[in-house]
Amino acid sequence: MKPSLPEALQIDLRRINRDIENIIRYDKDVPRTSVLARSVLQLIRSGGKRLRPVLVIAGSRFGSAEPGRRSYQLAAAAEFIHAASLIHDDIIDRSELRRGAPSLHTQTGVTAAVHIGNYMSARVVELLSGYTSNHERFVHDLSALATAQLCLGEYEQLQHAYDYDLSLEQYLEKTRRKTAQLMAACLRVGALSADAKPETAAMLYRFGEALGMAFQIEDDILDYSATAEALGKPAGSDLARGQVTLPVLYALEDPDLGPCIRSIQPGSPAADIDAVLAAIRRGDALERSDLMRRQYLREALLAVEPLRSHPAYGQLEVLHRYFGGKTA
Amino acid sequence: MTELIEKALQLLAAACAPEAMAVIDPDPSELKEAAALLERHGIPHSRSVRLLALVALLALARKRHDGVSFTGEQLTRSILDGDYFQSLYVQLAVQYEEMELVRYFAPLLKQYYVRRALGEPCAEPLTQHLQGYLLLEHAVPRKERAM
Repeated sequence: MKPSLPEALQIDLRRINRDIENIIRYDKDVPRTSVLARSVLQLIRSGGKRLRPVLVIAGSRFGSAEPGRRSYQLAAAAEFIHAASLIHDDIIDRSELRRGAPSLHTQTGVTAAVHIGNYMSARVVELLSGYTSNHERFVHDLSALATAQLCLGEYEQLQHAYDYDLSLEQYLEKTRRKTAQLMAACLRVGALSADAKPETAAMLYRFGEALGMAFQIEDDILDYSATAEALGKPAGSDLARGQVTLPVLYALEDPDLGPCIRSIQPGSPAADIDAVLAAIRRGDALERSDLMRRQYLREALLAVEPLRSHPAYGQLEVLHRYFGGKTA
Repeated sequence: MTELIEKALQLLAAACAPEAMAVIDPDPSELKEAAALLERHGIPHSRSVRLLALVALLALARKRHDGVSFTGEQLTRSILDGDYFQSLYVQLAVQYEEMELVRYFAPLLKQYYVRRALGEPCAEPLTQHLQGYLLLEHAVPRKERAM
């Protein structure tokens, strides 16, 4: 059987999971049997790939110190922040399911769920607020910079729904903010948490950013090429929700197809959407998108070329294969 | 005092990314109270502007997230704005080297959200926390505490 990502990287997932749960378990301000404690633990235990903590620990292996308490604390914090964002995302999307179970707001109500998400973010800030010195500033990148970038990516997505005049640069910027920068920040924060050199941390950041771009573009392609069963959501849902992704941008260049795509608006009939989906699949938009994805994968490897002789370089190869799909 | 509030709001308007199209509309009475507090404590003008901006961000985050519901017209916007203001608060505090304030406020803000999540009543003005922080800072100066 193919090993999971943590197994391939020899990362102790049990320790990470324990540290994530301890964030709430050791919070003396949260009654153990409260709906708050139960809801957060239920969400954390419902699964998830733990990609963010895995990236933090992989990054920490480029430090001069062994990954210790600080690295694992930051890894757990990264997942806690992610889980908080999922609660708010589900409310925004009015999703009734999360990882196959009823989403949190369907159980607690919207108001309580918003504040449970806020509690999780505030708890991370509390945990990390002990790091006040200048050389430890980087720990706040997760709860400040990366989170703000995620919000900005969401704002852009909101403002550009059904905007078929979106430029390639705008699409790339939104993708960078929504996906790539958090992956990059996790690797960088992990490296710095184990006292890696700043230049090493910067290389890992660039690697993570390029890998994140490739990962998101692959996700955008899959929305057109994969089955609903494989995706866990209806295929083509990006187009139906007005998300102008890379395949759409390329397909818009086709003079025959462009007007059909532009006709897709809120409330368009499913038959119209299906026809446009089929046309996009027939053209070269997916192939061109894949070329750009591969370009980012090459950039990722170039960014860490100077680290090739580092004992932890193999970790990057594993990440590259995992996030780059079968063609990496 | 009015000038202090105006400058803090200008600072926030400049700090917010244009893509956010954020509306900076904190409760004026809360800001006035905080501004008066900063003046009473003799905090230098430039620092007062920054501290007031940080308090305003927290107030804005609370305002956006309070009363979010599926029936509200601005559901998405309210949640995103609240999240953005919260993250910008930490980001600016790091930039202004006010991490001691973040450390003091962190458990208090968290406890507020715990009570809100549990549906318990809580009406803690942020100025009360600011007052506590300024008193602590007066008793033990910042550099001394950092050592």
